[in-house]
Amino acid sequence: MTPKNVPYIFILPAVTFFLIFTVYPVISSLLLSFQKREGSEYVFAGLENYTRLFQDELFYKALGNTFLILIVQVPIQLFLAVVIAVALNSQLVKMKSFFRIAFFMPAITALVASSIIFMIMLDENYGLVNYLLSFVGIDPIAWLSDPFWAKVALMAAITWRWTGYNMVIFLAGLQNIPGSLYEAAEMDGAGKLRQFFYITVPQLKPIFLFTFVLSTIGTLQLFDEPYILTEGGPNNSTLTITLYLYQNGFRYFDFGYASAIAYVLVLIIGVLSWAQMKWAGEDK
Amino acid sequence: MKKWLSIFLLVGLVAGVLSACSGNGGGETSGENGESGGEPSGEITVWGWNVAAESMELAVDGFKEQYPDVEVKVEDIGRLDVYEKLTVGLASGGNGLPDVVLVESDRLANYQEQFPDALTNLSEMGYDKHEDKFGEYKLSVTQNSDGDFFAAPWDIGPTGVFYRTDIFEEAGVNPEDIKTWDDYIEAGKTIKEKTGTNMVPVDIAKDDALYRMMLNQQGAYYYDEEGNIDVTSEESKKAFEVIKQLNNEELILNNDGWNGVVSATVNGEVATVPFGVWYTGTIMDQAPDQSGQWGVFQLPAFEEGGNRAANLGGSDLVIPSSSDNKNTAYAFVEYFTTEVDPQMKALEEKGIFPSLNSTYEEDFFNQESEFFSNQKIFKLFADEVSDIPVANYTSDYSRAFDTMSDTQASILLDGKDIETALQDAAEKLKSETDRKISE
Repeated sequence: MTPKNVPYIFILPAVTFFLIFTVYPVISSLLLSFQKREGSEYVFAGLENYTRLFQDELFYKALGNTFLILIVQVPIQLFLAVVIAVALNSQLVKMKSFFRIAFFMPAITALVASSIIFMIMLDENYGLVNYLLSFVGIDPIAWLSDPFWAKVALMAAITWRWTGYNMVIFLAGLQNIPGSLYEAAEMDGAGKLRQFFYITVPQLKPIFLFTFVLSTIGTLQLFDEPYILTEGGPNNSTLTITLYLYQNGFRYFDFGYASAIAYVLVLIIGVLSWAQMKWAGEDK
Repeated sequence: MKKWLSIFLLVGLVAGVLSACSGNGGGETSGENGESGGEPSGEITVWGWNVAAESMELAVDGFKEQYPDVEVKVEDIGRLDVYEKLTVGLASGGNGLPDVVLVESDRLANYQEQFPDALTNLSEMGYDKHEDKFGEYKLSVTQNSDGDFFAAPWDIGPTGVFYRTDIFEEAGVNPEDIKTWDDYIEAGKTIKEKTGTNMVPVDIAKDDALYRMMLNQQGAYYYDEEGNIDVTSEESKKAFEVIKQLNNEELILNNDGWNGVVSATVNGEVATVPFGVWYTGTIMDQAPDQSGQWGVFQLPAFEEGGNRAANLGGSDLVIPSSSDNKNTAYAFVEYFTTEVDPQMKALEEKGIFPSLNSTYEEDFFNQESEFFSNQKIFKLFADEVSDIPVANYTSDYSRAFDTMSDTQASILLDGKDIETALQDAAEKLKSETDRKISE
C-alpha cells in the first residue's frame, strides 16, 4: 500500500457497486434490445424491436404526450419557482423558513402517497375539488377520465411536486448574486423591475439552464404520477414513454421491446440535454 | 466542464432509465430441502395477497395435522408485487421464487406460455386424479394444450347482478322480470325516471369488466379457441351495443378506479352492480347497515332463454420449477385445493368461492343470507358454475385487456363507431402480438 494507491482502495466499493448495478444493466439491456423471446429462450432479433418501435402508433402517442407535458408544464413550473424564490428572498416576507419548508415539502413526500391524495381529491363523483367547484356553480369535471382534463390533472400534480424543489435551487442562486450589483443599480436610478430583468435574470442564467435540463430529464422519465393517477388512460391520453416501457416489460413480458424503448429514450434525453446546453452557450 | 458534465448526465440517465428494466427478484429463498420422494417435510414458502393469503394461512393447521413435519410460511406480499416478482423471478430462471404462488386465472396462460418450463407439471405429480372434481371452465384455465395441469384450480368467480331491493321496490321493478339485457335497459330507464338512480357503475377508461362478462357468457373472449384475435366477433359487437345503449340512456355512472365503484355501490348511487361472487364480501364489509337491502340475480341473457352464466376473476396455485421442496409444495397445494375443509373455511371466513364441485353439497350453500334479503345466494352462484363457458385468455391477455379498455373509452367517451373501434383494436392487437384476426 503506497500513498499513491490508497485513494483507489477507498473508492473501490463505490466503483464495484457502480459496475454491478449500473454498468452491467446498461450493457445487458442494450443487448436485450436486440433480442426477442421465443418460448423461454432469448434469440437474436437484429433491429426488429427498433423497426417495430418506429411503426408503433402508441409509442408516438406516448412520445407526443410526454413532449406536450414538457412544453406546457416545465415553463409553468420554472416560472412559479422563480416567482416564489424571489418573493422569499425579499426582505418584506416574514417567516421565511416556514414558507421555504412548506414549498419544499412536496418534493420529499412519498410519490405514491401524494398521487393517491391527488386521486382522492380529483375523484369525479366524491372528490374535494369538484365539491368546492360546485359552490361556484361549476359542473363536476371528469378530472381523471376525460382525455383533456386527465392531462391537466397530471400536470397539476407534477407542478405541485417539483415547484418547491426548483424554488430552492433558485433561492440558492439568488443568494449568490452580490448585493453590490443592486446597490450600484439603485444609485444609477434603476427601479425594482429593471433590477429584476437586468441583474437577477442574467445572473440566474446558469441556474435556469440547470433547472431546465433537470426538469426536462425528469419529465421525460415521468412515471409514478401517470402510473397511479390514470394508468396512462383514458384511451392512452396520459401514457408516457416510461409508462409504456413498463407496460411492455412487466405487463406484456416483452423485455426486448421495453429495452429498445429505453434506449430510444436515452438517445432523446442525451440529444435534448446536449442541445439545451449548446443553445444556452454554456462555455465557461 | 461541458464534456464532463454531459458524460456524467448521460451515464446517470441511462442508469435511471434502465432501473425500470432491470430488477431484482428479492432475497427470499425457499425453505430447506425435503427428501424427494418420501413423506413431505421441511419448510415451504407461499405467496399470496390479502384475503386469499389469509385463507391459505387458515389451511396451515389442517395441513400440519396430516403432515406434522412440515412448516408453511404464508407471505402476503400484495397482488401486484406477486406478479412483478414472479415475472422477474421466472425470467431469471427461478431466482428468489417461493414454493407456491397464487395467480389469477386470467393471467395464468400468460406465465405458462411465456415460461413453459418454469411451472411444475402437476399431472406428473399425480394431480390428474382430481380432474373430475372441477368444472370445465376451471380445467380450461389450469391445463395446458396437452391436458396437463400446470396449476391447481382454486377459487372461481361466477357472476351475478347485485341489486338494491329498496330502490327496485321504489321504482316498481321486479328483478325476476329482467331476463335479457333489453329488459335490463328498460328496468334501468324506469328506475332512473322514478328514483333518479343510475343503473350501473363502470370505470370506463380503465376496466372493461362488464364487456368481459358479456363476452364470456356468450362463449366468446378476446381470443378464440385457436388463439386468434376475436374482438371483431358478433358477440363482441353485441356486448358493446348493449354497453353503448346503457351509456346513451345515461344509465352508466362513470367511476374512476375500484374505489370509485365501491363508493358508488355503498352510497346508493347505483341500483345494480354486475360482478363476480367475490363482490358479496365487499358489499357486506363496506355497507354493513344495508343488510336486507341487497339481492342477486343472474346476468341477463342476450336473447330469451340464453346463457346467463359467466366468470369474472378467480385464482389458482402454481409451483415454480425452481422450488427445491416440490414434494411438500405439492402436498400443500393438493390439500388446499382438493379437500373440502380448507375450501369451506375460505368461503365462510373470507368469502372466497371454491371451484371444487364437492363443496357445493355442503349445508352452507343452502343457508339463506340475511344480508341478501334471505336469498340463497351461494346456491345461485354454485348452480351457475357448471354452465360457465370456456374462455381462452392466452399469453396476450394483458395487451387485450388494455386495448379493450381503451376501446371502451373511445366508444363511450369519444363517440367512436363500434364497428370501426373494434376493427382498429383488432389491427392494433395484430401488430403487437403477431396473432391472426379470426374471420
